[in-house]
Amino acid sequence: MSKTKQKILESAINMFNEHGVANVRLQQIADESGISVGNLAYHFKNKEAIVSFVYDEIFQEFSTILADYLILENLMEIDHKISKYYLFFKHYQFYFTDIFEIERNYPDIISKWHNFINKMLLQIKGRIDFDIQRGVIIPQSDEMNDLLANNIWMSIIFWLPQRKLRGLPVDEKLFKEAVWSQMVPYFTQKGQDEFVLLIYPSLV
Amino acid sequence: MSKKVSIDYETYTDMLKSLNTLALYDCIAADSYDLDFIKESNWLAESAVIDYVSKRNGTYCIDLLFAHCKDPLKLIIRKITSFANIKKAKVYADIFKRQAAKDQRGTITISIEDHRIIPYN
Repeated sequence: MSKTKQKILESAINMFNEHGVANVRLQQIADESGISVGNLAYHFKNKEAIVSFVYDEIFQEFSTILADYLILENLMEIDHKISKYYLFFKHYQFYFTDIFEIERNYPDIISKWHNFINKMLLQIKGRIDFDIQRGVIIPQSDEMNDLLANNIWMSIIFWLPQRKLRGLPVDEKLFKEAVWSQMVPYFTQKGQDEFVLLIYPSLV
Repeated sequence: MSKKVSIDYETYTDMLKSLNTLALYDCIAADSYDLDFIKESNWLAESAVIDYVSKRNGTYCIDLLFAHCKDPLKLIIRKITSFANIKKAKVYADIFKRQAAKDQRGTITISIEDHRIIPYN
């Protein structure tokens, strides 16, 4: 990717986060990038092309996060993944604020978005199954496991927007605490020991 | 640029389960029936092998037919490979047959009595 394109991408993301996809004009992105509108039009013929390009980048990054599965068997992997999700959703905050705008005007993007988000949920379920087999999480009925996976997923997706709605500060430690607090009650003794040894020191 | 491939949710779930099993490979105890496929394929060692070369889709395919020498119900046919040249296919079919057959020299004879075929009245 050329330097100018990279600059446009970063500026577009900043502007989308600040004003929302619908309220951003090409002129604003050009100003933020420090280039002329003509130069911007040379790289992207219209705003749709920029939105599409930004979402390609988002999906590329999401794929990279989803590609890591069971690199580590212990709880450290979940912790790393929570960090990655935090950075990802923080960088692309407009994913939530502009979800209806995207749904209305970019149906292809929304179907891809659904695909990634659903695979994320399936991966959380898969990891819970793995930790049950490993003896870290208390075995429960499938419905309860699904519920736990859903709660963790909701914490990851909606933690940032709810903090924003309430005007509260956001940081990685608070985010991690919120996600881990969904899981901790379901740990076995082995799970608690592992949590205290590997994860707890980074949360206090 | 290569086309990106997307897999459906069911396949994705199965893939995650397989990865879980793979990671827990050393912890999960095996069941005796896991090795049943070896027992089930035992009869192949006692079978007669017949090679068959046929032209399909412009190439000469080699099939090997495995027939149990006592039980007529045990019979399978497997496509092995294919060649563009019929002579090569026939040579290789013969080699495959001799490799697969227990009786490589072909001296064992099969008696009709072994098959216990009930005559129709």
